Order: sequence, then structure tokens, then C-alpha cells
Amino acid sequence: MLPLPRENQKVSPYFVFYLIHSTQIGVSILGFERYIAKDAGYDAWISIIISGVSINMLIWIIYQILNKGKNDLAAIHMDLFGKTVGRLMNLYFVVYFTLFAITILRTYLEVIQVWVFPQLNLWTFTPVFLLLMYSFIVGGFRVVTGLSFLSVIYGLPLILLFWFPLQQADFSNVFLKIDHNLTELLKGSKTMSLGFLGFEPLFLFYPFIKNAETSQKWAHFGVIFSILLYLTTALVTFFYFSKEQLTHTIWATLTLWKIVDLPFIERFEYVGIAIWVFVVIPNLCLTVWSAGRLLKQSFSIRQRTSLWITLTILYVLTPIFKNRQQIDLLNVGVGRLGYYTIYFYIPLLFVIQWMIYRVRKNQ
Amino acid sequence: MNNIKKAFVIIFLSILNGCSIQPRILEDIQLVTSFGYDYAGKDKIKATINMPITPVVENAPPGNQVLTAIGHTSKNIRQILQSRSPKPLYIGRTTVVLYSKTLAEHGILSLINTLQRDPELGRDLTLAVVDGKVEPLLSFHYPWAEVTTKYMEQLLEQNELQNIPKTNIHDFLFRYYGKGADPFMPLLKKKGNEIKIKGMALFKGDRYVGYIPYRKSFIMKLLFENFKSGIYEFKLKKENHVAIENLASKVDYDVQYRGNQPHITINVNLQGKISEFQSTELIGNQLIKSVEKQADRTITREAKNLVHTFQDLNVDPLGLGHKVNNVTPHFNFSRWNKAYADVPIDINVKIKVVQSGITE
Repeated sequence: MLPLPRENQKVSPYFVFYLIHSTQIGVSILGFERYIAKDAGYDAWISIIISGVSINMLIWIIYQILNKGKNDLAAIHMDLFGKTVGRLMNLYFVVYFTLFAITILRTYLEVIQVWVFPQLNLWTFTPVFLLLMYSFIVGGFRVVTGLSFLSVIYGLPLILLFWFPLQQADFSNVFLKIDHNLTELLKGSKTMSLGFLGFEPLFLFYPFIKNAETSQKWAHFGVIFSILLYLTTALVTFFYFSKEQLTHTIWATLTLWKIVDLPFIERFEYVGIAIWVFVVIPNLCLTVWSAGRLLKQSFSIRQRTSLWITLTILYVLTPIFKNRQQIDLLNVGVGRLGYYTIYFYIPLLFVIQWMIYRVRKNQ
Repeated sequence: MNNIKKAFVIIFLSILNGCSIQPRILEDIQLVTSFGYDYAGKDKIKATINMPITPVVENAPPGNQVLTAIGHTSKNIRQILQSRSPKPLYIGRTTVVLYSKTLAEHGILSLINTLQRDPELGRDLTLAVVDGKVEPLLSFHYPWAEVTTKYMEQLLEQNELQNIPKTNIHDFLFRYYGKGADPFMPLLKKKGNEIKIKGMALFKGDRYVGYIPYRKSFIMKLLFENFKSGIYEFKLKKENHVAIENLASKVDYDVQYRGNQPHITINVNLQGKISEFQSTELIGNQLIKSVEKQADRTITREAKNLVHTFQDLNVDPLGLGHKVNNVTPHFNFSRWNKAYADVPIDINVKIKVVQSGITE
């Protein structure tokens, strides 16, 4: 069994709310609307709810696995599958978290490139981000948690900006009829699940929660809050854009910020994009921390070393994706990978663990 | 020590990044605040840009500088214009974009698309069609205001409050891309040394097909959106005219199916006050009743005429198709497009006079 973290490295159970919620709200909320609308039209709000409910069920499954295993994913893998296979499984999750971090970072940098500084050189700009992440992650899990908490606090006031598009909204766009069948709605919720990805670090930070079993309700609250936020954003977008117009808009949420017209700021999207750093950084920190933690746990190297490994990979791979098509491909690819990981692997792990524990009990 | 080193690296990298980005300092760039396009033969357009210039002299009023060039795409024209401007041109502060009627008849989607694509530009951009040529309109120095853009901006803005339906680039795109609605925008005309709003230009897709005169645009606004100002004048008896000032007007659309045929009812409720009456008669309850009745009748008639005009032109600026689609499962647009010209549309106007000023 791998050693558990010391008591003074742990955080209170209610922080799980912020940890789960803040990683679910990331870059995907800036432009998820047109993807779900492609699948389920303006009935896609139902897809968001379906997807959110399924994520809540997954959270329940994850807690079942972790409560039984009483340690993090790395330890559970090595316990269930033996050292070699367990390490391989851990390595898969390291790759998964790294790819996830690359997707977040590259998508956010694309937003900066397209909206603010077209001439931005990624080879010099990415290190600024990575060093920022490094200095937070080195502070340990408690610092990362604090960052998640702050990101929720900083990000929430942006909801008030929906007031501006609502003044030009056409409320009859949604709700009055349901035009799509269940298959289409489910397809939409499959697409939507990319938005809800990001709760997987729960597998790793579980031992860092005081009385971790009691934190489950906070995890559920976190997901519910994310559902509400995605739902509000999607509805405001659907009210504001016509359906065909939305398919031409890559970052619908960002475009909504464009309408904001305050007496002292004429173009709010620049401010919004800057504030979004606070939302993206904890996202990145938590995924990179998880990747580093997995490496540390499975290969018994120092976490600082594993962190450098992950950050170097991030530095080399992030600027490789050059244009919209490649970035879109990255997003879709990682989204699909995440989809299969959470909807197939997690329940599978649950079943395997259940069977192995039964066999052990009988012996 | 380690922290200092880290901070140093971050600062160094930030400076390095600063070098790779072009700065835009207000004094060193030239802001374009309005521009417009004329038709210049097949595949060619003539662009005119208008820029406010602040003289370096103290206490001198700002002026306009106008540049014109011909080219194939708007960005190519920008490059040509750049060759004649001492400072780099930026269109981020543009508020008004104009298209000549001839150009609009040929379709303007590509020109609007580039505006939509540009992250520099905001969403509250006003688009307008010019009856005649854009170039003389933009290059004239109007006595109303020192800066032409400001003049047009204010002209459109205050009229959008009371006389013409509100439009901007977002509305155009909403209607253009959205099925069951056609775009429209204000129609401007230069007359002597002033600009006037001639009416509303109607589009089918991205092509100009006709316009409704300014007088009728108030009726269109009544049918189009809720608003709280504007004046409508009509004939009460033989010679007496009454002007009703709108205090609050609300519109809602009701779609009912009779068999297979959608039946649209537009309900307009207007609360107003009598602001002018061409008679010495005292304004009492009886008179108010008859004013209300007469106004109902006149506005309903005018509104019906207007909707018929739309149906005759086969344009749908009110977005009726969109509204019917919103309540109809599995709506068939191609059938709707064929049926649109003959769809029965009922209009109910209810006017309530609540005030008559400070005298009786």
C-alpha cells in the first residue's frame, strides 16, 4: 500500500465543491454551444441535463471505488492489477491528463491569438504560463485548492454580463417545441460530456480530503452547479443567436461578451479573456498536478521531478498545434478519449474492483 | 533565492513576449469610424472611409479625412488605402457601415461576413443602405456636426428610439442566417447639406429588394418591437388631425393552426397620450373614445397594408416564418416559403389614451 498524505496536507471536505466545479468550467464553456446545437438543435438544453445527471452517477461510482480502495487511483490500480499492469494503467492516465492539459492550454492560447494578439509567439508565451503553473503546483495541493476556490469567485460575476445579450434576445427560440428525438438528444449529451470532463482528478486528490467519505455530497453539488452554469450559458446563447447563425460562431460565449457596452469599457471581451486566466490556471494546475502525482505514486520519483517531466511535455507539444483545424481535431479527439474513459473505464473499474474484492473475501 | 530566479525568468519571458506583439498606441494609429461601399462594375467595389482628425493646433475643432479606393475585396482596398495614410489604419472603432443601393442589389454578404469575422469590431455596428452614392455622403462636411460619423450615429440612434426599428449587424446576421426571416436596415439619403432617413431598406437574403418610406417605419416598429416613444399622426374627422404620442407599445404574435394552415395574429397594445389636436374642441371622455376608435382603425389598416407590401415583395422582415417555426414541430420551410405570400395575417391594434397633457 502506498502511504497516505499527512494530515497537514489535507483540505476540508467542502472544498471538493470548488475543485470539481472549477475544473468543469474551463475553455469549453467559451464555445460548446454550437457543437451541442449541431446534434440536438435548440433542444440541446435537455442534452445538458441528461449529460449532467450521468456525470452525477459517475461521481457516485467514483466514490464507491475510492471509499472501498481507501487510497488514490494509482494505489487502487496497482492493488487490483498488480505492479506492472497497474503501472501501465497509471501511465495511460498520465497521458490522458497531459493531453487534457494540452487541450486546455492550446485552446486558451488560441483564444488569445485570435481575439487579442494575432502575432503572439507560442514558443515564448507558453513558458510564462507553464512557470506560473509550476510555482503554484510546487506549493502543494492546498495551494491548488485555494486557486480553484478563487477561480470560482473571480469567474462568477461574469454571469451578470448575460444581461446585455438578453436585452436583444428572442425568447421564443427555445422551449416552445421539441423537435428532436431521443437519439439526437443523447448524441448531444455525448458531445456535452466534453464540457463536464475535468472531474477525474478526484481520483487523485481523494486522499487529500479530510473525512473523504463525507465529501461526496459536495462533489454532487459541484456538478449540479456546473450544470446550472452550462444551462444558463446555453440558453442565453440560444435566445440571442438564430440556430444557423450559431453554427457560424466559433466562440459563442465570447461573442456574447462583445455586446457588453459599459460606459468605461467599450469592448469587454478583452477584459473577459484576461479574467479567464484565473479560470484556466486552476484547471491546468489540477490536471498537471494529477499527472505528476500519478507518476510519483507509480514510479516512486519525487513529485518535483515528475512535475518537470509533465511541464516539458506540455511545452513541446502545445505549440505544435498550429491552426483551427488541428486545434479542433485535438479537442474532438481528447473529448472522445475522455468520453470512453469516463463512461466505459470507470464503470468497468468499479465492476472489476467489486469482483476482485469478493474473490479476496472468499479466500 | 530560487523564487527570485523564477520571478526573473517570468519577467524576462514577459518582456520577450512584449517584443513579439505589435503595440497599438492611440497617437500612432489612425482610427476609421465609418466606411461605405459603392458598386464599381462587375466584382469591383469602391470603398470610402471616414476618419476623424484632431489637428495638432490648440483649440482647433476636429475634422474629417476621407479616402477612397477601388478594389475587389474590402481587405485589399484597406491595403491600397494604407498606401495613402501616414498612420496604420484600424477599424476597431467603426460604428456605421454604409452600402450603396446598387451594391446592395448585387448582394453584400461577403462584405458583411468580413465584418463579422473581424474580432476587432464590436457587435453594435449599425449597417445602412444609401440611396444614391456612398462617396459623396461620406465626404461631405455637414454643418450639423464636426465629425460626420458622430452625426450619422446620433441621427440613427435617436430615430431608433422612436421612429424606426432597431437594427445592427447582429440583427442582420440573425435574420440572414436564420430561416424564416429577412434582414432590413435603415435607408439613408443625402439631401443638400444634410442626411435624412428615407425609410427602411428591405432585403431578400443579402440583396436589396425595396424599401418602405419613413412614415411607415413607425408602423413597422409597432409590429416589430416593444418601445416607449414616437409620435403618430392621423386624421380624426374631415379636417382635424390628431397626434398621438406613444408611451408604451407592446406587440405579441399568436400563431394558431386552422387545419394545416398557420394563422398569424399580431396584437399591438399601445398606451399613448394626445399631444396635438387640430381643433378647439375640449378633450373630454367622449372625444378620447372616438380618438381611440379612429386610431385603432387607421393603424390597423396601415399595418395591414404594410404586411401586404411585405408579402407582395416576398420578404419577411418581421420574421413570421421564424415565429411559426418556433411553435410548429417538424416545420417545413420550403412549403412555408411558397405559402408565405398568401398566409392569412390578422392585426389587432388596441390604443388606450391615458393622458392628454397638462390641459384639458
